[in-house]
Amino acid sequence: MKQTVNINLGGIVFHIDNDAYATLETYINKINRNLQSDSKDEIMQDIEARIAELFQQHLQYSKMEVVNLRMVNDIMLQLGSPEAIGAESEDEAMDSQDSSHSDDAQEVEAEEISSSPANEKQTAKKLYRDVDHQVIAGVCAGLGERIGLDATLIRIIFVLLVVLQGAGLLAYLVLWIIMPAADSAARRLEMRGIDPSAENIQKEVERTQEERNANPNKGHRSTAGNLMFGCLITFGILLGLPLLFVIFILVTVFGSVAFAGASVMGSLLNLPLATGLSFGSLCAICSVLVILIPLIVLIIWLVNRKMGKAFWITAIVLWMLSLIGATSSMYKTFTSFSDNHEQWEQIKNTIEQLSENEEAMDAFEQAMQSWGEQMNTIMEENAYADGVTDDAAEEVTESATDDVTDDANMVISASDNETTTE
Amino acid sequence: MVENIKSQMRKGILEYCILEIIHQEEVYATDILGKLKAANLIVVEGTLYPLLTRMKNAGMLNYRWQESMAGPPRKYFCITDEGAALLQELEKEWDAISNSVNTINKAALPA
Repeated sequence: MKQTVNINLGGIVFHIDNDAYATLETYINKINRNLQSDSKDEIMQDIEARIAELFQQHLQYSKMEVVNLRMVNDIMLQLGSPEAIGAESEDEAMDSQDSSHSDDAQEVEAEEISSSPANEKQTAKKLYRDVDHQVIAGVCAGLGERIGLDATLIRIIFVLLVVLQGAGLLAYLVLWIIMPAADSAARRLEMRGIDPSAENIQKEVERTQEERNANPNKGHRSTAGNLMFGCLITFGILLGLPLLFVIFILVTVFGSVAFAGASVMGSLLNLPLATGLSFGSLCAICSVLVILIPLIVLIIWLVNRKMGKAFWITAIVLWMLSLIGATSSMYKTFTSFSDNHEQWEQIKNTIEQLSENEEAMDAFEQAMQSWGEQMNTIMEENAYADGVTDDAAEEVTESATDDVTDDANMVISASDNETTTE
Repeated sequence: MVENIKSQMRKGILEYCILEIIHQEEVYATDILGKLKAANLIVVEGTLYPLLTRMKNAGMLNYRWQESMAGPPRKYFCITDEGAALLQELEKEWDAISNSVNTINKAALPA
């Protein structure tokens, strides 16, 4: 006794034994997976209609009512292997790809190439950490996959960078943070630039399963890898804190310079400080953006290659604007500096001191501010503007006095003296 | 290798013969299969369906649905003008090829 199921094949209902049904279902699914064509559904429909026709013939001939396993096996022999059927449809894909080449030799060549990995259409590769082939965290393996270089070569480059100047270490840590791990079949396919369609994912899952069964140790770090992993983690923590500190200092210093520059600019242009300040900080922002925009674009491009036109246009326009802003601000600052040689000398001295200690930095700030004040008084063009800038300059001095040391005060008084003697 | 060469040779001829069959009369896939099998040109049936769809997509063939006494409607194929033009070229090419092969075979014969 056997259980049967009802199936609808090409619009006809068949009773079919359970075992025969299982075999037929696998067969049809296999054909479907092997077909490489945009008209896949149409071909499947035709094939199913043909199977239905053959079932009818078999049933009529044997005077039976139920399709059994023997009939299904016969029909499978008659129709041929899913691979053979798929191979015929592969040519279709090849034809449309290579329709431009009429040369026979080229066609043969294309056929040889397309006969290996069937439906793995190449799309843009995405950057992921290749955790299946990792030594430390899969950064080098992922980069290699993305660029198309051997991972070992990339690893050698990284090691050289670490030994030569230590930059490799930082780069590795940063990349580790920003690169997502290829921890799913879909991501592994995206990493290799293969379209993550349902069938490809199924194949990929089967493939990784086999690979992991074959050598269960692969994909895990070696002892050396483990050691380096630990070192990098420790280093990352050790490096991360000072790095944050350095960034904080840089931002503070840059901000103060911009602030001082702003007050100078404000007085030079004879503007109320409020306007001068926003102009100066705009210049500062511009010069930061000039460096930052290409960096951000590079990182985004590495992580995800799919970016629209709008993104590029926005980035380029922003970059051009900030470049213009930064250049004009620098031009203005330097032309105004060269107007007054003595002032310029003094500022140069202060800049030299600046490299020695941070206190001098504050002194420089102060000097710049008072210089701006002096400039304004010298101009004496507009009594109203004078009043406003002087008031504002006082505010600046107040806000900056916190860190001022004795040294700085000396510099200020010196500069004051110089300018007044003038 | 041997199989590969053989199948390469057959592939081109298969399309030519299918065009020829459809040119003679409107047929549905099973009719074509019958004729190809009788001529020993096809071994497994399954490969015909992707081929027909490809030829249809390339504009050589067209089809229409026709009611059938035995079951659901069938796809009857007919040749398009484009297909007919191609068929003429293929006929010439076939003559040329068989001439070439014959010439070489005769040259190889003694005397």
